[in-house]
Amino acid sequence: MANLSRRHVLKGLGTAGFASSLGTMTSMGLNNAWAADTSGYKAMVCIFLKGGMDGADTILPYDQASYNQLASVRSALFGTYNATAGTSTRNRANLLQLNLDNAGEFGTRQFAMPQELSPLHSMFESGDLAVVGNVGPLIEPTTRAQMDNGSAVLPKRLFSHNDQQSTWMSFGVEGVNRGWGGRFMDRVVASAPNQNRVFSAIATSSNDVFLAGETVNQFKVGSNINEPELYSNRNLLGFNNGDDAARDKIRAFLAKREFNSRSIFEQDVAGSTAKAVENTEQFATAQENATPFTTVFGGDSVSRQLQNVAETIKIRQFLNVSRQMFYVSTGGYDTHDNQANRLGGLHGALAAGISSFRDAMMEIGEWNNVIVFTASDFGRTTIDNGNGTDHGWGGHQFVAGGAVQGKRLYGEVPFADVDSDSYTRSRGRLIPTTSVEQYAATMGNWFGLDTAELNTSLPNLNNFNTPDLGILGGPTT
Amino acid sequence: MRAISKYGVAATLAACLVVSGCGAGGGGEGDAGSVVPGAVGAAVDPTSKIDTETDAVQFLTWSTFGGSKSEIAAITGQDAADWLASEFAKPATLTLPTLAAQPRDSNANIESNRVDELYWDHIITADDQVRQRMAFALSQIVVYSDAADNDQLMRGYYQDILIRNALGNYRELLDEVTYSPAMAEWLTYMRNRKGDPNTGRMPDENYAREILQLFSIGLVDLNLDGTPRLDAQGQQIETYSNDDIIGLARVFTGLAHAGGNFNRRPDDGDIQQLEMYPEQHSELEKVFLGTTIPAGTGGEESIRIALDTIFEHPNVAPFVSRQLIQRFTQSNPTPAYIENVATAFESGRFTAQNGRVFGEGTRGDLQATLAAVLLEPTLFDDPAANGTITTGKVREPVLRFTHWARAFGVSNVNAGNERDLDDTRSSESGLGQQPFSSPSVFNFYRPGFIAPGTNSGNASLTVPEFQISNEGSAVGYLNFMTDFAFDRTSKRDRDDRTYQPNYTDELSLVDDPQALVDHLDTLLTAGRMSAEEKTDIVDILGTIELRTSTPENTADDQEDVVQTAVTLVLNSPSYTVVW
Repeated sequence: MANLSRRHVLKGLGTAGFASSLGTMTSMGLNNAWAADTSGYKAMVCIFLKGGMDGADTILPYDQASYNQLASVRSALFGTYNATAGTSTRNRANLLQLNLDNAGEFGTRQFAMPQELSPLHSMFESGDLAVVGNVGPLIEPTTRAQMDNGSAVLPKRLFSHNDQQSTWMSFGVEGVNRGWGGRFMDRVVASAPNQNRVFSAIATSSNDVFLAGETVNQFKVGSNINEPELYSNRNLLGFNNGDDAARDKIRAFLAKREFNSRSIFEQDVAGSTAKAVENTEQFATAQENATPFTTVFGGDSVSRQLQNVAETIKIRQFLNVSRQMFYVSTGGYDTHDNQANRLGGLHGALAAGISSFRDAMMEIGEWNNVIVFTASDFGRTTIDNGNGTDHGWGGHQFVAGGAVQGKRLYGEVPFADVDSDSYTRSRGRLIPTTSVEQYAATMGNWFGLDTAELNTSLPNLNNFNTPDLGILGGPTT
Repeated sequence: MRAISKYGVAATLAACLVVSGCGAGGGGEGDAGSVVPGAVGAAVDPTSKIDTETDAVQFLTWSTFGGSKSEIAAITGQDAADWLASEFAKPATLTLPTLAAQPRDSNANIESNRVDELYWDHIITADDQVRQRMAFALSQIVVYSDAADNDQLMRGYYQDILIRNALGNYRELLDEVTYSPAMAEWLTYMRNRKGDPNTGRMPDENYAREILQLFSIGLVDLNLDGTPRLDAQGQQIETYSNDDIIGLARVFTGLAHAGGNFNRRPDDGDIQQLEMYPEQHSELEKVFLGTTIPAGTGGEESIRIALDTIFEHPNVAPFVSRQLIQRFTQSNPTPAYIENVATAFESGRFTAQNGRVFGEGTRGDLQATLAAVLLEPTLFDDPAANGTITTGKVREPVLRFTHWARAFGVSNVNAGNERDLDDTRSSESGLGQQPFSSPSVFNFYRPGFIAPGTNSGNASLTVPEFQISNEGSAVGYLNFMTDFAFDRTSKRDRDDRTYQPNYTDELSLVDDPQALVDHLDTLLTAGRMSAEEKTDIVDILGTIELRTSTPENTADDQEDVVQTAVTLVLNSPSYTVVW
């Protein structure tokens, strides 16, 4: 089930797209500094795993020596998994080995996923999924020696949930109001005048900073798009002649953006209610064209949200978009305790959700045009606290899609030698070796942004020698 | 109090709220003394005197779950300080007794969702409204959520810790919270063991980090007025390092359920304070925030020293004060306002403009602190006659719902019969908010949230509530409120007319849409509706057809008019915001 042929087709489309975007540039005149390739259709789907996913319990060492080392550092946690029992998911014999296409880069080291991630393991093996090891927020390449002597320039408020979520999404602590998902879409909208801005950035759960741009804001989709009952349900006021007229006026009232309010907050409320009414109607109209998928999604939160994403992609032609950025979020990864009983369920839902999403995209022929990637507050301490783990820094993430050069491990998954230079001075917190901005740039490059646009969106990218990790075939320009 | 002078014209002649008491003339001649006409654009009364019904609604909107008509009548003519003192004197209404008395199934469990349902009934009907509102505000600072563990009695016990201490002292509150089973489960220090050098195991750092970041001092050093302190290089100064967390984490070891067995929870373990098990408590030296607890210090003593150390940090007053102001009155308080409240927290005293003194003089006194929040002199100044108003706040969806329920005196308050109140978290079909059920310890929204793509955001104004109240939730909120306002919610027993609003006063105004809208403007927005909002709603109400074929049809359509009027006001910008 390798996707080589599909990827080949995709690259062909990319070339054609480049030509057409040149045409757009010419027609827009020389003053247009932006040149994002917006041909064809592409979507990025961010799955934010809130709480901080424990990388060391997601990508495990598989060669005996590395496995033993981790089991020793985490003897209490492995004890809660009964790791020596034959049936334990953390027994080495039950781990699912990753057969890397780039195994040569790692010498004798081998890696595995736990059984709960089995659907992702299958996707990895078939080339639809890659792992990016030890990625996290960085201002510049950072070593422990630099941290010890105080010369390191570090992201602010490491180990704090809200601030590191914000930093992953926006490169600043809580309060920054532009995320890189939104910034990418700002560039797309600037380059594609016909792109519908409203449906460019779509969230399925919380209102976080990732999708906030200068011109782009998130649109929320859920399982039901309900229209306002007050005027769309004729049972409320009744069926008299005057009631239809009243309903029209009620709609106009709710869709009114401006009431000459002097309060700036009231102005914002009027604006958001009005946009909600208009956008909901527009989306509901597009949704009338929706047909169900054969693929059945699970009932958990990630699966339901990814189903909402898939359904939105399926009606994209009615939404008038050539690029879309999606934001899915799910919680529970802050496994300070009871990790052995909690992480497996979270992993299982994540893996099933991504796998179903892949099936749905295959169904409509869009799998080559979408990438799904994970993000999380931080990795966790390699040294456990008995039955859980605490806040760390670098962690491991997944990137999936037909265009992904899968079956490969990018970046590093350091040994569990917690006294080594790979870790901070306490509790085995990994110092990232790949920055979030490299991770983002790699996908942005595939998405169609050019170097200047990437540097505008990713403020520290120039501090890193390798702005593209090669996950999606490397630089195309 | 103050004249609302949005258009250079003081809003004064609001219709008398209890229409039956107004005489045949309706709004034209209010009860003597209920309305004090003010000069155009001028201060009516610079003190906290509640002169009019409009003043009363404004003050009750800040300080309670929404003013009922009887409360509005009762406080009009009083000084807000005097009324607040009488509220502070009321006995606490607790939640656990009612919860514990619920019927049990064969496993002795209470029917699911009861704790959520009862909390709605509780905050709508409890007489000690200010205390309950303060407890709800505190629930958004020392956040416990049942998102991870829905043990209902454990949550009820925690709710009561907040209710009992809401008008007490913040130091005592931190103590009870620390020893509560709910917080210990939520922030994972239940049965947290000391480190083990053999396995490398270290204490759980969760509570150590969050009690500092969220419950007490925050991330950067603050001045008394809430502005960040800066070092010689002009940089903000972080309050703690990761080493402080490692040191403090040793303090919160050894706690587990009472009953003598570290690993066993007795039947009533969730409604008792935790017990310290010395053999599981770290004997190591504990260093944090400049304090050293010597090696070998016992667990309870270590916690006492740690909480004292945290509580004595100069950040606590401005950190807690700013967030309380945000919960009650303003999203972006001035430094002077924060300093006034923080000073009351520090000194344990606050003197109102009428000379009434609040607080016992002990640092952390929450009566003094809350009085300073609600009686801040600048709140009673007239808003500027011209220009954009950037003070005030967006009201939480929970408060917008309870205000409706209280303003229209809903009868048969039994949320157990209301399916819509089982779980109000959905932004598509609910309020996007449910008390004690935030998604994480970071509450429903962050104190520093700035909404992208908005006028307020472009002006760098903080609006926490916009994190849950926005384009993505507006239609869900509208539909939720429509169902209640129209008395058409889904009920378990359809014949049991729970949460039924009383629109008698409003129906008496139905022939005069302008009078009806003026009345709702006073009752629900404290006279803050813009002329344009009112004109539009009056026009809509006049358009709804009143059938005359039978008296029943006419009455039915008149009810539609009132319900539509109420729903539109509940969804108007001026109801959503208070300033």
